[in-house]
Amino acid sequence: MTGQVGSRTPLSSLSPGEAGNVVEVGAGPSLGRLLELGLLPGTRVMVARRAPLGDPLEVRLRGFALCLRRNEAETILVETVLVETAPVGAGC
Amino acid sequence: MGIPAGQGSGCGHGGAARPQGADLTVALFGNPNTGKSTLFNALTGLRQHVGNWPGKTVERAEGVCQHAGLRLEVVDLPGAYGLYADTPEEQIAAEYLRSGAADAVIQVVDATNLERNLYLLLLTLELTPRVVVGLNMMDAARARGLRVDADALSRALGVPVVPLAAARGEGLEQLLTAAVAVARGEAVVRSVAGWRDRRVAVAPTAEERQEGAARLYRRAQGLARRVVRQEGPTGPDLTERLDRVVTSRWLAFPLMMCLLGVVFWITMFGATPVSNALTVFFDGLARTVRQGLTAASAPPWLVAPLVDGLIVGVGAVVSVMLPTMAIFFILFALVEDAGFIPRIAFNMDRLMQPVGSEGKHCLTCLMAYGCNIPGVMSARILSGPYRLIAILTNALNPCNGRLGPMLALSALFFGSRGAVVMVGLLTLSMGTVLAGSFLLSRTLLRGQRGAFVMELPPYRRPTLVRVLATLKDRVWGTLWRASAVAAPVTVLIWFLANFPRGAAPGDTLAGRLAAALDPVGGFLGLDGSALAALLFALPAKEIIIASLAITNGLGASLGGAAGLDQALLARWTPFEAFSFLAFYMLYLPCTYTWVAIYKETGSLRWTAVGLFLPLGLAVAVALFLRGAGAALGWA
Repeated sequence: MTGQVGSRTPLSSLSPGEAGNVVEVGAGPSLGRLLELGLLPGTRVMVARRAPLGDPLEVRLRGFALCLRRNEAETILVETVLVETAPVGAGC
Repeated sequence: MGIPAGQGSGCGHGGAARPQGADLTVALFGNPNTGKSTLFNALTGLRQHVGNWPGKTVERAEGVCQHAGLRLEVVDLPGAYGLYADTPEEQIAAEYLRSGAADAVIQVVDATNLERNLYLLLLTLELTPRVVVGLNMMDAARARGLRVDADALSRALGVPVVPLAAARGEGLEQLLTAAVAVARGEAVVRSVAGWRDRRVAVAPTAEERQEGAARLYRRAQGLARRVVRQEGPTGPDLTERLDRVVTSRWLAFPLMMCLLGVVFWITMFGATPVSNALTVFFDGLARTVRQGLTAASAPPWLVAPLVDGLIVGVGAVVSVMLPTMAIFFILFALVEDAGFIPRIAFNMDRLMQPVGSEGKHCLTCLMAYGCNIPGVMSARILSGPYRLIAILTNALNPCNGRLGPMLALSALFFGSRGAVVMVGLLTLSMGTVLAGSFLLSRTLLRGQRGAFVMELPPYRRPTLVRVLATLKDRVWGTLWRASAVAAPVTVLIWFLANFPRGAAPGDTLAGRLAAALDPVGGFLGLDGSALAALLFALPAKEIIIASLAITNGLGASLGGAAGLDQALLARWTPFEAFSFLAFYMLYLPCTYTWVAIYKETGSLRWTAVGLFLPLGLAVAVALFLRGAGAALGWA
């Protein structure tokens, strides 16, 4: 578990399986695209895995999966939540 | 009853003019990965025409569909995630929807991914009320235990919602009936108060966009929660289980290498018998035509170039190109349809970052192994500087046309170790792709930022229909265009090899060209006959072997390569053969690829870069090999 539940942390620092609620969507180069995909304040997101070489991350939200580079995920702040038994995301 | 008048778009056809005889125009729209293309193909079959949207390098597909005695023009809008015009696709879609050119819009929505799909649907409804929702992938939803209440969704949105499984052909008739009804104003379309008042795509500030997106997503989420029920267990599904293997730290790269190896192996060995059969066919055709023309007393100066030049030449190209490309692209489409392709980009991205590129670049390289022309066009999946880098480095990947001769020559000079040599050459080509990307991103494209955000859709079972649909454009279309360019050059080559009449092989124009190029060749560690052959092979790399036969004085047409093996073995050392293979693999794109690069970049300047970059890298490699060879005593 990364830090305490409820703490604000960049999305990039979550470990696979950890989830959080988006608090702030930073000003990365993909801001417009991420908004369209529904990565907004209040959205529940979960980090499903990291790529074999560590980057990018697979992030699940709103029933689908997205990959995001670490430098983008660093600009997204989330509030961590307890990992549920039924994880959020595509096909789960 | 009826559609609220005056709201949204009018009845004009501000976009494309309606073709003769079409009664109604229906547009298809939706997110990527919703089965929209499958639906388009199912509706229009072979009666479709693919081009580009005016002024843009975005594909425009239109077709015709008959329904209930009406002729419907179907326009396939580019898939998009939003309508705020961040990308050319979104710009095109927004303009088209706003123009009112469509009498009805079929929005294809993925039933297994409803919330995000509803966001785009809500945006579309802000532009036009004449929408029918095609609730697609109902079969996949059922398989996952998802139940979607189409009627409830329809009541909430105020537009018809038709459940579909386009890949299986389910629901198509009902969909068209609903679309026609909406287009004619016969469907009950309830104007949902408040939605039509908002304007879309004029929100300039980041805050306003965020607020707009948040508002729509709140609605989308509410709707999705109301109409979707999850029945049955929700353990890790097939997609999750496969991804644990495909993207695992230890298995990912070996698996990808194996996949590539298997694809190449099947392509090369599957294609050989078909190639041989085609060669026999073209030989027969040439003989028949020659006999026919001679019997009809056609003049010899016509018969020879037509038969020995054109038919034999084009035959040489087609008999190699067609089977290898067909097999390769069938295999590629299977892998693509199953959903592995995005995973390859996901795995490779970290390797591409240091050279200023991204994961999807590797996908264009994979396409390039089939043929550089679809390879260059596939760079449309990238954006910004990444797209240019992919276009300009695409030709560094050896296409099937090059791989065949490379394999043959490797086997000739290195026997059973030829496979190792091939792996070495492929590694070299990957290295030049990385080097080229690095150079471009640090010089001509310096400072331009790119982003990598990519959806990972679920895996699915490939279907033959979807696989075969890709062949038409990637194989058939390419073959015709490339042959059209190659054909006149084969005649020219015949001319060079046969004039002056009666001259000894070394004195023909081709022979003299080879001799003249000896000094240049020597500089690169090659000989003049090799360089001349490389020039001949520019329209179609496949003909290198036959061209070598001509420039080595062994044949006067592209059909004969007898005795070439012995001639080359006598002339080149294995190291020289390797240098030749490396240069041949890299030197220049084939002529139709030049055209494709120009069409995709719209710029002569970038096209020039697309020629000089590979040439420069090929020369650098040749010089390096020459130096290394001298140092090691191999040259």
